[in-house]
Amino acid sequence: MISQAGHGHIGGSLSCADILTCLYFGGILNSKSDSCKDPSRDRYIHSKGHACEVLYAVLSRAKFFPEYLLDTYGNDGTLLGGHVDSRLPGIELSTGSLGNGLGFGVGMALGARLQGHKYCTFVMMGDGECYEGSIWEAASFAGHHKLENLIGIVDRNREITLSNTEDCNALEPFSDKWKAFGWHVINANGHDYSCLDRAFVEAKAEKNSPSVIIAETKKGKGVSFMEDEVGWHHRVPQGDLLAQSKRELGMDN
Amino acid sequence: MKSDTDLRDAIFNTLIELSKDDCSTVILVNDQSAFSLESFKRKFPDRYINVGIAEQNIINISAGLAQSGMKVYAYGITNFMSLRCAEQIMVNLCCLNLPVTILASGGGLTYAADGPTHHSTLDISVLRGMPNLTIYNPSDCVATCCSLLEAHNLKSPSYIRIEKGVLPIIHSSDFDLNDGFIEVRKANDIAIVSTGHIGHEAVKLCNLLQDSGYMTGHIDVIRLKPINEIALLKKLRKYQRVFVVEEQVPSGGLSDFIARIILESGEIIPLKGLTLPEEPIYFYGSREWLRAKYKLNADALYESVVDHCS
Repeated sequence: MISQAGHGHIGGSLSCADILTCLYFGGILNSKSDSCKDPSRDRYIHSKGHACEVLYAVLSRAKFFPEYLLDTYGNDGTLLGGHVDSRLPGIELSTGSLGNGLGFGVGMALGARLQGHKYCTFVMMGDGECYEGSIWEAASFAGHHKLENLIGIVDRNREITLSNTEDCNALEPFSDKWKAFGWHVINANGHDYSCLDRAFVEAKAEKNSPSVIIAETKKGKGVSFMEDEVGWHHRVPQGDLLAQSKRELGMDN
Repeated sequence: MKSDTDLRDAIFNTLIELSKDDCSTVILVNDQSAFSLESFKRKFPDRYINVGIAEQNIINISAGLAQSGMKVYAYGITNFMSLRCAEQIMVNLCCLNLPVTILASGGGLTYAADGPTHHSTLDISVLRGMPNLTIYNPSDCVATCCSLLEAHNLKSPSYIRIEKGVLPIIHSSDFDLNDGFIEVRKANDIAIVSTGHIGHEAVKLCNLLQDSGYMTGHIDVIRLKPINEIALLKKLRKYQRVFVVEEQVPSGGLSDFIARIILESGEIIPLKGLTLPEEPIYFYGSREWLRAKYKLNADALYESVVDHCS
């Protein structure tokens, strides 16, 4: 998709691909393509909306929309924008401006509580996104109101566009910050399915506070020359690099 | 509507009535209260939430609540509920077209003594271009309640500026907000077009002009967006001159808007905006004093209009 379009966010898409796989194909998220308007479905908010390519791939594989749409990415008039768009089936919130997904998720979780719904709201954030103050406004509210039906996921790939997070403006001690805001914190390897599965089961079982899974990941995971290389936030692999990427990811041709 | 009703009481008492039959209504506040809001809180404790001083968060949570099926009111001081969270209003309320009503307390120079952080002279300019957003700037208690009732039934976002205290009544209770404005006084020489609280100066101004022999009409614009532009133009073309009076900077305000619709009509209707300057106001005093200083009280407006006509 990205190489065909000539633009995209490959690093941050690959870093959260395993987490999305676990959510959608590991039986964690109760949301199916044939009931994507069912009021009792779990809500998934992709707050790091620039990493849209991975969500498009997952949703099409999960039959929310046909896979041929992926080939239109980057074309004039495509339905697949450069940031996720809630007019597409399976996408709960249009995002792109970082820092707003968690507050929206807090509202949905609070709405579920006030109206007696049992669904769970999941919010995927980038770690760089956590520089936004609005994340912490929302985190504070969720912790205070003990929104146990809210699960945050932070794609802790440690890279922002221009540098490592700890060199730019250290996020650590990251877990302690979430704990201080009243969250149940679960640290997980974001590329290990069994570890992620355990983390989600633990988060769903938590009944006293919102949970956040801090998933340690690698930006550009699966492609040797991209992994942890700052430049691959939004570079586009072409030619030999594209062939190598596909080979290393085990993709056809 | 009783003439001695405090505007905020009028708003929240109306909301209490609406919420008795509608359990989806919820109010979020940014640590801002009002006497009658306390009454809402006592009656519906689960549906009143003080989010704290965090306006970006209030708007995002409001959007999520609305998406989950609730009708949300978000209450706070005007600038903080507009400028501070303009992006959240744009992306999460307006783009998603969600039924959230922002109750913005203190438009224009309501908080006159509190400096430029609290002078709300730019909120309309910032919000005006946002898609799906209905904007109200009512001048009295009748118009305020009418705006609220209309907003309550919208399936889209809205923004209502609300004043505090008791104000004289401008509008009769058989009110029709259909066009967005009311010609409260009809004539054919000079039209004074006002919006919001400064409408009370406009009423006095009309009397002064009338006493000096100018046949003066008054159009009060209550709903700034959408306005029935054709109906407004039809009213304006009856007059020889139009003066737009607003407690707001000119860019993006009502005078800008009326200038555009006149220009696009191809008609020639002389227009003059009487507004605040585009500069921070570092003078502290009462609203009346500040209006006099910026030539926006009835006496100063009278001088400006007469000068312009001579």
